[in-house]
Amino acid sequence: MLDSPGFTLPLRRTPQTVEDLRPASAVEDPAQRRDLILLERALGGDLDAFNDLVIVYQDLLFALVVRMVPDRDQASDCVQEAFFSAYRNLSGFRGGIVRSWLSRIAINAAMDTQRLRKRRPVDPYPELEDDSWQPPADASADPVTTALETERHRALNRALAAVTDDQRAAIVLYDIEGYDYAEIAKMTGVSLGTVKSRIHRGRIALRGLLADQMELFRG
Amino acid sequence: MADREPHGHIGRPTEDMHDSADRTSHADHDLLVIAAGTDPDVDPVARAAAARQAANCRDCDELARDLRAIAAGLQALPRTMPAPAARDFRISPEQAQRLQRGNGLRRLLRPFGPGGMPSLRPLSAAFATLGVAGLLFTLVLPGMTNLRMASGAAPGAILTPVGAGDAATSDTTSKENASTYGPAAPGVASSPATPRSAAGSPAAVDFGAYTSAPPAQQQLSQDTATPTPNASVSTWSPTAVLSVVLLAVGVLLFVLRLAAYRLR
Repeated sequence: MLDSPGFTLPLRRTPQTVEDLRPASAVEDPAQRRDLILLERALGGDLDAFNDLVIVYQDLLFALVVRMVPDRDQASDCVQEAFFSAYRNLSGFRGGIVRSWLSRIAINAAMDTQRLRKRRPVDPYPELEDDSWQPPADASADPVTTALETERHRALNRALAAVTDDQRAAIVLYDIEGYDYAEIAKMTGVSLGTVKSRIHRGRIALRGLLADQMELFRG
Repeated sequence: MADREPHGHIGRPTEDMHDSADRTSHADHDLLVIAAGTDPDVDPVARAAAARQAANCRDCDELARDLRAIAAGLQALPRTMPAPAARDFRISPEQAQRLQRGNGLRRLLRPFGPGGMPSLRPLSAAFATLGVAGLLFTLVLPGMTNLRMASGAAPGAILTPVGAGDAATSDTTSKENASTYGPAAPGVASSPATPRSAAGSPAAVDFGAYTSAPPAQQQLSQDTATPTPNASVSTWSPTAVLSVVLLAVGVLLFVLRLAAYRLR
């Protein structure tokens, strides 16, 4: 049930225009409630409960990590390491959103890999490989639109792989994962101003890298 | 009068002129203002500043549009990506058992790890730096000054025994040295330009082989030339001790942080 494709998580950040005065408890979210139950059972020693969490979040974490560590094998290792780390530190979970907690662990694992890569640059990353997978196209989608979208994704992924690690992490978390500044600052352990600066500088860098292909995005 | 330009064109920039003026000013513009302005979460003041800048500069306006398009493209990227099918991220009971080992140590080190004290690294760096600086000022620099003073005050004190060192090996040279350099021995410090010192013999380090200079003189020159480690240890100031403690604390915090990160 947990790994059924119909199960989607309401993760996209929506900019708030009006202050919401209702109690916004994360537990009201069914996905979060389910995660907390699984986590509690895992804390009680139920390994299957933890593995259910692994199944729910493995694709999400893989998508997050593969954009920061653009080598699929290394990204897989990072995700595995993140789940190991999460299991080891189950008791360290101090409430909050389970997805954010897991994402933070995955980001740390990805950053460790990046640091290691800098220290031992004998094995440089190949070209970003995630072109091999694109989301299944809508049956009603125009083939030209689909091709354009695929090309746009490819260009963006290539450009993302070329910006600095810090900028990439901030952009992936903000624009793709939909976290807000404060959450990113908490996850990456830097100040709010640094997060903003990384996102804005990263976008300017992306624009420079995509200068020849901006027509793809202007349409 | 007929050669003059028509009045209507004076001061009115042509299209080319407008372009060049725009570009020159664009180079001086802060692109981050534009980048911040395209952000939906930015405060109204920053957005107004970006709008103002974009309104006055064609390139800035284009940049703003491009950045918005890039942000939209990024937000359209797939948020999940199937992990490699061959990879099973689930944890086996054996792995779970292995991962649960060392939990006590991990719990102890948690305050030093990620999510622990955020100021740990700067704090440990500060301790270590203060410790090194303290040691430098209390032990190393004074030691170097003493050494320089000693060598400046009595350069012959180091070199004079050289001849005497040779004297220990043969009687004839001993007599020769005694006759040649012996009288100069009392005035060791005041006669740096002895023939031996000019020669720069490799035996110059043999302090123990005084035969020609009086013992008291030998003792004096040894004391001034070479401050022994024991002497400096016995005279460690509280500042030096504090520096050592600070350095040790700094290094310890670094090690604990490293261990916590490794064990997480």
